[in-house]
Amino acid sequence: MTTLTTTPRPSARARVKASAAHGSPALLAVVATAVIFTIAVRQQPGILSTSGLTLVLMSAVPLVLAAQAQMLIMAVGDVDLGVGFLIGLVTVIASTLLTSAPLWGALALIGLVAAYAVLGAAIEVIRIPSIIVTLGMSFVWLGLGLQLLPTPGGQAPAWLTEVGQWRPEWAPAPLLFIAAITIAAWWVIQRSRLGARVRALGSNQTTLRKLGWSTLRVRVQTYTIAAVLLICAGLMLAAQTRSGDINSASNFTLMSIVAVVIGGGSFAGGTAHPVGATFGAISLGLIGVLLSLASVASHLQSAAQGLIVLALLAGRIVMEKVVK
Amino acid sequence: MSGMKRRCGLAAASAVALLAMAACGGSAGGTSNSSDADGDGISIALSNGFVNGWRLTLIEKFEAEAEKLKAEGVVSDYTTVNAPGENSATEQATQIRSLMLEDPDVLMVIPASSTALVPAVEEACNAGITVIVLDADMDAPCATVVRNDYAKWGEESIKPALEAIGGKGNIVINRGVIGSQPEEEFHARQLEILKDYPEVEVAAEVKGFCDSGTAQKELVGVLGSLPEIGAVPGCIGGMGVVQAFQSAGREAPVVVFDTDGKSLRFWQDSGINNGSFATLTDPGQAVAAIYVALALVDGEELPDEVVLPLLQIDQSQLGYWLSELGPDDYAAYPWDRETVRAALDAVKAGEPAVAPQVG
Repeated sequence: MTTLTTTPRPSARARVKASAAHGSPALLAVVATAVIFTIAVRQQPGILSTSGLTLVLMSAVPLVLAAQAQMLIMAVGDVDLGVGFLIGLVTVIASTLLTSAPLWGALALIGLVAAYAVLGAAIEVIRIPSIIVTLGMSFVWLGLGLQLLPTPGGQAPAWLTEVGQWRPEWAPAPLLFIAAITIAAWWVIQRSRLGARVRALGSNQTTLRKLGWSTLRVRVQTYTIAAVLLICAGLMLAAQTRSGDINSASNFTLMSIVAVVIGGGSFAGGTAHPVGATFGAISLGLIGVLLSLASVASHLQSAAQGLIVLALLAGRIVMEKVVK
Repeated sequence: MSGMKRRCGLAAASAVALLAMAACGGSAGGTSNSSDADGDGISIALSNGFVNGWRLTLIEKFEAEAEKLKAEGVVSDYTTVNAPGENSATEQATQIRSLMLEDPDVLMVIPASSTALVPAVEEACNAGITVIVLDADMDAPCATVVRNDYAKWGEESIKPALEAIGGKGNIVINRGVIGSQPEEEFHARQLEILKDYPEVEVAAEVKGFCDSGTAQKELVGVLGSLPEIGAVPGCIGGMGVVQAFQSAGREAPVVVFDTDGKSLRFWQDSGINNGSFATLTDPGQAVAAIYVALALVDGEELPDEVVLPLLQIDQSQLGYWLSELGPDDYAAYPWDRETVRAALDAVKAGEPAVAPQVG
């Protein structure tokens, strides 16, 4: 037993500060999800079953994917205002081209990924703010969607609807999807070199350049991965609705940003918390379920939803103040 | 400080525990307080896609009738929920799924989309819930559709107007919610009717979206370039149409008024007596749907679709409806058990359903 330590342990205070600074933003989303979930279960114990969890978490799956994509883009200091209509466009492609001409459908989806890569390059090279580029592109997605399918409808291919109807006995399918997505995103952000570069691009471009990395390449890679995630979100939504509608995800743009912010991301870039973004998205999804269960007067539901989101965001600011 | 860390840790741990518990819970869940048909009354849940004045009247009628049946012991419980957001099918699907957790005997859906909600409706059917789709067409064979006839509505929205102008002259067609499937049927029927009136010239089409204010705005934009207009038939909005003509200093054409108290009051106060009329779908169909649901729960075999009559008001009925309706109420047929029974028998026999007597 020796009292000597080679490196002095940081004080408890410093450790809490450090862990709070790194982990607390994501923790808020986890706590919020737990609280909302507990209240919902009290209202309706039926949630605590495989079928119950499937029902309440189903709609969160596309939103979790969208939130991860938005998280990546916000990590490099940008923001994507085209998320909603892009996902809508993917549902439209899925329920038209992908069924009638699978090859063309697949090509169209690959084209969307390529378009995002070009967007990333344009934002890096020409230095147009991402907010303008993506807002502009959102109208392009809307136009293309309306061109392909003016009124909601169409039919998603059978293999896709089977994904949406997959119901394993042993676990709620949405929970499995969400876990898989989150683990993959966590690995990319925290464990891969690309993740470190993505965060560096958002917080410290000079260092990134000094180390010899091309900022252009990192941004293009970020946008490409984000596009793939958004396409997955659209396909998942089409799998659940079996049809296409360009407007079906129009609220995803703001919801994905809110999910990232609740989950610890920031508009300044440099931070990425995949677990936080996932829980942020789940808590947003659960708010809707909770309000239906709690029989909040129907005309107050939208307002109540907004107030809860505001409370969550305020909670994050308070938490950060307390920690500092 | 370390206390706070512990608290957060606990919360995180409990969140994980809850999810794990839930995941392992298997199918042990389900509500114990759900009632069923042979118990003490049935439970009804109504999911509504979006809210406007007409839908509010529908919900009011639904709740009043459900309350009455609750007092009689026929209905044990009812809930109404409106999906947040603007007619968002994804939000409504979430809502339907959370309503399913309450395991109602009957689920009524006024869908935000006739296509995207099919999976949610089928899930409800598979969970053993009697599903009624209200005020829309839907390709979900497991559900019973209760609605008005949109093609008939198209006919009723134009034919009396063409008759009122003697079958000749210029008209402006006031389109409905373009892009929706009911509007397609509605408009197709209008065009068919117009073929029978070769002396009627369609001078313009405006996108009124079945809204008085929108119709007014759209008309003001084109009115200057139009010849003399005899009638503006189409999807309601008569008040806005008349105001647009009056502000341009022109004589009010034959219009189709909304069936709410405010529009009818305007109709009477403006002294328009040129054959204008009011016609709209019937918000009372929600009440009829309750009795359709009761018949289904009792095991009666019904057709997949129960098409009910539209609501029409002409000059002679104006006084009656004005005495009945508050400014924000829409006219509705007073459906009850007997009249719905008669309507169902007619539908089963392949005949058109007859509306209850008004006034």
